[in-house]
Order: sequence, then structure tokens, then C-alpha cells
Amino acid sequence: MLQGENLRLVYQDGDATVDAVHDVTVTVADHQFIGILGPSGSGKSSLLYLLSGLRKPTGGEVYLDDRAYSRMSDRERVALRRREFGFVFQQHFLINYLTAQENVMVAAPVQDKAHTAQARALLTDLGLSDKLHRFPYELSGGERQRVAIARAMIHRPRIIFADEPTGLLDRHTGLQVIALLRAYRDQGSLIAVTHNPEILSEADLIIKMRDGQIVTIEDRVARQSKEAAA
Amino acid sequence: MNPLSAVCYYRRHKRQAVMLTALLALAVVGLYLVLGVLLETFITPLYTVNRYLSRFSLVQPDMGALDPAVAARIGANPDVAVVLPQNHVEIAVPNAGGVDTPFRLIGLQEADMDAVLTQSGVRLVEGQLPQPGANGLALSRELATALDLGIGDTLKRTENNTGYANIASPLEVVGILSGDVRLGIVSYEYLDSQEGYRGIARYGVLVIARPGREAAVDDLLRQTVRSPRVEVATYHLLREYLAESRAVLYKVGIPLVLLVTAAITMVVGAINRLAFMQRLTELGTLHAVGHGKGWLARRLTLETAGLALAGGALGIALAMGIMALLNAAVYAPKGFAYNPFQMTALPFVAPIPLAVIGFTLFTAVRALGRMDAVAIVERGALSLEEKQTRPAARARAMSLPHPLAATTFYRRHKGQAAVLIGATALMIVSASLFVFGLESFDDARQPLLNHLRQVSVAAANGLTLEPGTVELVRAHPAVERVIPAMLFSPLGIYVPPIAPTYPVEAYGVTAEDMAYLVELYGLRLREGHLPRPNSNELAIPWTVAQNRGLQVGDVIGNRDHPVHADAPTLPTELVVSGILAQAEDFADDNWLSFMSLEFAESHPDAWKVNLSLVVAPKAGQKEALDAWLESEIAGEGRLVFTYGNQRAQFQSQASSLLLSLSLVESIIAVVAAVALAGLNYIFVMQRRAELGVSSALGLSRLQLVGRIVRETLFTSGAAWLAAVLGGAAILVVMQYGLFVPAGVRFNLFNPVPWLYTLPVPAAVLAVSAGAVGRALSRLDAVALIEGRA
Repeated sequence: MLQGENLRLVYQDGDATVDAVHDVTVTVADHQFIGILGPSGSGKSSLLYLLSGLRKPTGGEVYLDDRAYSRMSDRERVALRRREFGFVFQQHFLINYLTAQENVMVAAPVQDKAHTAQARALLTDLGLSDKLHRFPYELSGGERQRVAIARAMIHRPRIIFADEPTGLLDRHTGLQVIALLRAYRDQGSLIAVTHNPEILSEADLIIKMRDGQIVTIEDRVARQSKEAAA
Repeated sequence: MNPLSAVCYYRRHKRQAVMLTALLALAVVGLYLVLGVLLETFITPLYTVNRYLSRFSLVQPDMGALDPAVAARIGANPDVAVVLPQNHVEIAVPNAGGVDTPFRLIGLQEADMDAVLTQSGVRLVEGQLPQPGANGLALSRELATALDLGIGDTLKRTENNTGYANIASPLEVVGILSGDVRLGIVSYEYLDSQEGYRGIARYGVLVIARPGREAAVDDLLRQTVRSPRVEVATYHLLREYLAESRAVLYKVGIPLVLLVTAAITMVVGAINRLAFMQRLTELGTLHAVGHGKGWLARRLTLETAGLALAGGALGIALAMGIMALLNAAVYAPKGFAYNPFQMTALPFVAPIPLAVIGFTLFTAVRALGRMDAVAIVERGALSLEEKQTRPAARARAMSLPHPLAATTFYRRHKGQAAVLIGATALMIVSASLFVFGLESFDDARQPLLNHLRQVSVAAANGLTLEPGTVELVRAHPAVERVIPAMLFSPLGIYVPPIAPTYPVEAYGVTAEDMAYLVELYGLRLREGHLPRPNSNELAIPWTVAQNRGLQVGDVIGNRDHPVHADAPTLPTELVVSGILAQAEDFADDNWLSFMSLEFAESHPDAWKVNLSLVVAPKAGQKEALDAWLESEIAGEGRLVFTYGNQRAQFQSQASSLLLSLSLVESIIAVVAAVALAGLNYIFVMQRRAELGVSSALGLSRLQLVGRIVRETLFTSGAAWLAAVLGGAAILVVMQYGLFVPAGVRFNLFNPVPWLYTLPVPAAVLAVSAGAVGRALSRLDAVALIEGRA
């Protein structure tokens, strides 16, 4: 279980002080799909960075199974990201000189034949069996993002963090990507940040944020009741 | 400000401008210092010390006394003001770089001293001039400093067996001179009166020209007086000698300049290419709005030209400053002050900025030729051709098992790998070039000493060893046999690649002793026969015969028709009667020649026979005997040559040179480390996004630095391998192209020069790791992901 308690993030952006996350508490259970929704500048990406350990909070604490991030060394937090988490960003951030298969292998814990086979299998499952040896510049936007998803899954992480994973894709491709991510819920949790509510229809929990604070938290039951009432 | 001017571009890209300027300046400083130090160590001191030849000339016969008719002929010339008798002995003055420079201590009669000092623009500033018949020495202040002598000190052979080998009896410094040129004046009568100096001192005349007629007298002496039997020392000849010495330096310097220039051009070219690729949109836009490709190429070249010239000028100014500091701190205190602002090294460093400008123009024209403004504006690619090349790349590409391995990175970045490996390899070769040359030469000359492996030699400089010493040696229990021998050097051996000719030893011994020595050395005749008693025959080693193109029956030592330009004239001609076979292992080769002692002794009018002792030890006693000879026999007036002390002398010379070359290597290693690590750093920083996302995915900074270090290790290792293979190829070419045809060879497996190939890659690796590690310590993965960095 991943928990963030009274999280706060303040940072300097030029001359301005940005209060990006303000007193946010959130809990992510295993195999849960959490959506974080909000307009630009609402602090949703910052919250993702806090929960994933990419950023240290100014205040509050993050726990993974009762292990507090603040008590971990930098090395332990890095190892946590490598072993337990997977990431999908708005931009694919694939390494341009590596093929699709190699890009997936970048996140594998060991560069061995078993993981190579697993990378191939993942890409095949994602519909890229004929593009294993293509470089990123030879792939379409959706294909690149699918490679990035395979990269996030290769080491079977407990939690995948997805930051605007469909932000640069057309609607159809975006829905495909979300379906792929959602399918991962059987193996681990998924935390997806977006400003597009359409892609969170299957989320177990939707956290709406504005100005660094949580506005509402809705679970699927409540949401479905609301939709039925509407 | 003109927005399209080079100045505007670099005002807005100050870091890039500073980096390129600093890089070029550093390369110029490095090369200038290397050549400047070599020049001031090996060339300038020859001129500085012997510049007295601009005030007077010296004439002396190759042996004995000068023919009075020659002196009379010189004196009768209307351009000659005065002809004075002189004798002199030569010493070696160590300069600030540890290299010996030959210098004459000139013996003058008391009445002539003032005239010579006046003519030289020199005056006595302390003490007095040498008294007639006394062992006084008046020395210029700078020379006294260089020799670490003051008034009351003595110059004696025991202080420096090699440099002062001709100082048969001590000379006491009685006066200090100061003036335009450097002089060492002793009493003519003293040198003449001392038996020890008779075989060493050269006798002749000192010639002073009438004012304004110096050139004419120089011509007269060189063209009319000089002959195989009469040596002259003039200003013109000094300058010719300096020019030849410079030519030798250029032989070494030009390849060095080419290598460093090529390496720096590659580095700057790579940086410019990166900058060019980042400016594709700007260039495409400018082309789209109506600026021609020629205009764009000129603009890019002008931008680089400004920096290259600024870097060159800055480098020269810095180098001159450092040379001035070196002069003040090292050279001047040792009596070898020089002008740090001379332009001698300038032509060597000029190619660097010029090559960079030329290369930039070439690459700009080439890249802009393919430029398609629309493709750039639309896709950020140079041309539509780029798109067409990719399917081919795809057809070849296969996923590799280790995507994070250095080999994977460089298989996908062959151009970058080629630049880094090529430039590093060139720098490695540049840094070790001199050492390879020196070590191969040092290896090849080792057999010069081999004749001392079985025997040792005791000698009185220029005289026959006194009977008491002979008896003392003969009576020593470790002595097997004592052989009276006349030691001389009938031939010189040329040792490549740029070395001078080394005199090889010959023993004039009786037929009985010759047979004994031949057996002791394990020599056998390859052709001909050993010199017969009372014949003017000479047996020479095959190596010397090969080196000098000699065969059985050839005549050497002819005064009027020497076999070679540098062949010494001998008292009588000698005929090559036999050629001794080369040893199976070149390291065991013996370069000793033999002639008949009976012949020399039966021609006392020609051969001045001074007998030394060749001492053969009893079995297993060589070491003990040598130790005894060195401690008990060597001393005032007596020299002992053992394998140990001669080898130590060789090693000392080589170490001194190696030390100078280490300085050269250090300078090049610093230039290489900064330039190549800078380039590597730029390449790595181009990959910030990749590193940022790798960090986000869970690679620690240590792992990222480790990855970059492995990549640098790969390029540095590949460069080292390329340099070593290239170096090995050069050595093989040198061995079989230069050395073997000259009859000599060097040890291809000598590890010393190879050690000098290591500092450059090590420095590049260390500086790269440091710079990249520091940069990555500030890496903010989130900022990179968000596109804020």
C-alpha cells in the first residue's frame, strides 16, 4: 500500500515561490487504478512525483508498506523506483539510438535472455511484434507510447505512474494506451495523472485537484451512482 | 548590433565562445611551450654560448700545430685586422634543461687578452685575468653561474668526468667577465706547459676582422682556409650548425604539429558540428528568407574564424607569458636567459587556427550543400535525404543484447566514436612520439658499451698511463691479463632516427693480445682477416661496415678524400682487412675494431701512441675488479671505463632527456585531457534527456556516471589500442626502414615508451569522469521530464 500523508511541496520557479501541493493525503491500495484529475498547474503531476519519490516533499511523508521515504537514503529511493515502480510520461522519452526492444530492456533488472524474451513478448502483446528493431524515430506517436508502456512493465512493478500518458496522442490512440495501462491492474496498481476525464472511466478512485489541493475524491461506486442518478 | 553578425551570435552564446577560444588557446599554449622548451634547451644554448664567434674566428689544424704558411696567408689578407696565437680545450656546459652544450676555454697570451676582450665587448668585472703560465680561468658571469663556480673555485675533471674530460689539471677561477658575448679565457702558456694538456689542447690562431669586414673574413676562412686538415670556427658556420640543429628539431616538431593540429581540428570540428545541428532551424529560416548557402557558409566560417584567431592570439600571449616565467624562474638563474618574446615557435602553432578555420569552411559548405530549408523548417532535419537513408539503417539494425553497454552506444554513434577515438589516438601518439624516438635510439646505441662487458679500461687522458699505475693494476689478484692498448676512434656509427654519429672504439694491440681479445669476446671473422702485425690494416665489426657501407679492401682515414663527410681523418690511412661477424643477438653485438699496435708504434711521426690498459679479469672477478679500479685507480689524471660506470652515464643522459620529454608529455596530456574531456562532456550533455529519464526509471547517479565512464573507457581504450597498433606499425617501419639498413636495431619490446602512451587516455578518463560526475550531481530528472532544464 502506498500512502501520502499531509504532503506539501513548495519550490522556487524563478522569482516566484510555487506552492505546488498543499496538505494532501492520499492512499493507494494494491491493484487499484487511481486517476488524478485537474487543470494545468493544479499540482497533479507534482503529487505524482512526490508519491513516486522523484521529488522530496517539503512537508508530510510518503510510505510504501509503512516504509517512510524520508528514512530511505537516495540510493534506496532510486532502487525503489527501479524495482517497485514503472513510469510512463507525457512524452515517450525513449532513447533515440536504441531500438524498441532495447528501449524496453533499459528498465529490465538484468540484461539476460529471459528478459529479452519478456520484452519481445510485451511488445508483441502491445501490437508491435513487427517493430521490435525499429528506432523511435521510425515509430508513430502511439507506437512510441506503447514502447514506453512496455518499458514501464518489463520489471513487473507494483505501481505504474503515468503522467498525462495520452497528452500528445489523438483520441483513438489515447484510448488504446489507457486500455493497455488499465489491463495492468491485474498485476499492480496504476496511478494516472490527466486533465482528460474520459480516460479515467475505469478508475477505482478519481482525485480531483485544484491549486495544489484535493477538491474531491470519488470512488467508482459513488461515481456510477452519480451517473445513474444523472 | 547587427543581429546576423558573428559578434552578436557569440555575445548570446558566451559559454560556447569561451570554450572554443579556451580550447584553441590551450592547444596553442601546449604546442608553443613544447617547441619553445625544446628550442631553448637544445638549440638556443649552442648559439648563446658560442656567440663569441661573431667577434672573432678560430683556426686550427686537425692535429698538431698549424702550418705557419696558413697563419701567414690569413694575416696577409687586407680584411684581417689581427691574427693571434690561441690554444683551447673544450668543456661541456650543462644548460637549464640538463643538456650539455660544448664550449671552448680559449688560451691566450697575456699581451693579447685585452685585445680579445675589447673586440668581444667584454670586460673584467671581478678578480683578475689569468697570469701567464698559471692555471687561472676568467669566465663570463653567466657561465660561472651555469657551472656553479665563483672566484677561488676550481674546475676539475673529478667533478664531471664527461663534461670536463679535457680538464687534465684543475683550473682555478680568478676572474669574472661580463659583456656582449660569453668567454672563458685561460693562459696560453699554462696549457702549453702542462703535459696533460698537450694531447688534448688544440693549437691554432684567433682571427679578428677589420671593422665591417667580418663577413669577408668569414668567407675567406670558410672558402679558402678550411680544408680536411684545417678546421675553422666562424660565425657563419655556427649559424649553419644552428640551422642544421633546427632542421633536426623541425623533423620532430612537424609531425608533432601535424598530429596535435589534426586532433584539435577534429575536436573543434565535432563541437562546431553539434552547434551547427542545434542551429538547423535558424539556418533553414535564414535560407528560406533569402540568404544564400554561400552567405551562410561565410557566416559560420567567420564566426569560427573570429574565435580561432582570438584563441590563437590568446594562446601565443599566454605561452609567451609562461616562457617569460620559465626564463625568470629556471633558465636565467642557471645562466641561460633567453628572449621569451621571440617568434621562432610561431610558425609551428599558426596551423592550428588556420586548420580549424579551413575545416569549418569545408564542413559548412558540405553540410549546407545538402540543406533543404523546407525540410529543416518542417522536420528539423537537414534534408529530405535523411528520411531516405533511414530505411537502409533499419534494414541493418538488429536489437543488441545489452542496450546500456558502451559498445551499443558507439555502434549507433559511429561518427562520435570516430572523432573521440581518432583525436585521442592522435594525442597519444603526439605525447609519446619523442619517447619512442629516444628509446629506439637509446636501445640501438647500447652495443657501443659491449666491449666493456668482458674487460675494463684504465687510461691517462691523452697520455700513456704511468708505469706505477700499470704495475698496481697488474699486481691485483683479480686481474687475469693486462693489455697495453692504443685507444682511438677510426669511425663513427650513425644511429637513427635523427641522432648524431657516435664514435666507435678501436684497440691498437699486439697480434698476440688481439688473438686473446678476439677469443675472449667470442668474435669470429665474417670475411677477410685480422690485421697483420706492422700493417696498416683494420678489422671492423659487420655492424659498422654495414652502417658505413664499408667492405674488405676499403681505405679509411684519407684526409683529402674521407669515406664520409663526418669520417675522422687518421694519422695514416687504414685498410679494412677483415669484417667481424655480428652477434646472433643484436644486444650482444660488439662494435670494437682492431688494428696493429706494432704498426702505430713503428710510425711515431704519424701516430702518437698513448697506451692505456685493457684489463681482463679472472673468471667471476669482474665486478670486484671494476669496483677496485673505480675506487683506487680512477682519479686525478686517470680515467677508468667500466661497463657499470659507462652504462650509468648512458642512463643518466637518457634519464635527463626522458625527464624533459616527460615535461613535453605532461603539456600534451593536459591539452588532450582538457580538449577531449571537454568534447566528451559536450557529447554527454547532449544526452541530458536520456540521462534524466534513466534516472527517473531508477538508475542511480553512480550508475549513470559509471555508464559514462565505461563509454569513455571504451573510446579511450580503443584510442589507446589504435595508438599502440599505429605506434607498433611505426616502430616496425622504423626498424626495417631506418635501423636495419643502417646495421643497427632496437628492442621492439622495450616497455618504456609504451608506458608513455598511458597518461593521455588516463587523463582523458579522469577529467571526463570528474566533469560528467559533477554535471550529473546536479541532474534533476523531474526538470528534464518537464522540459524545464
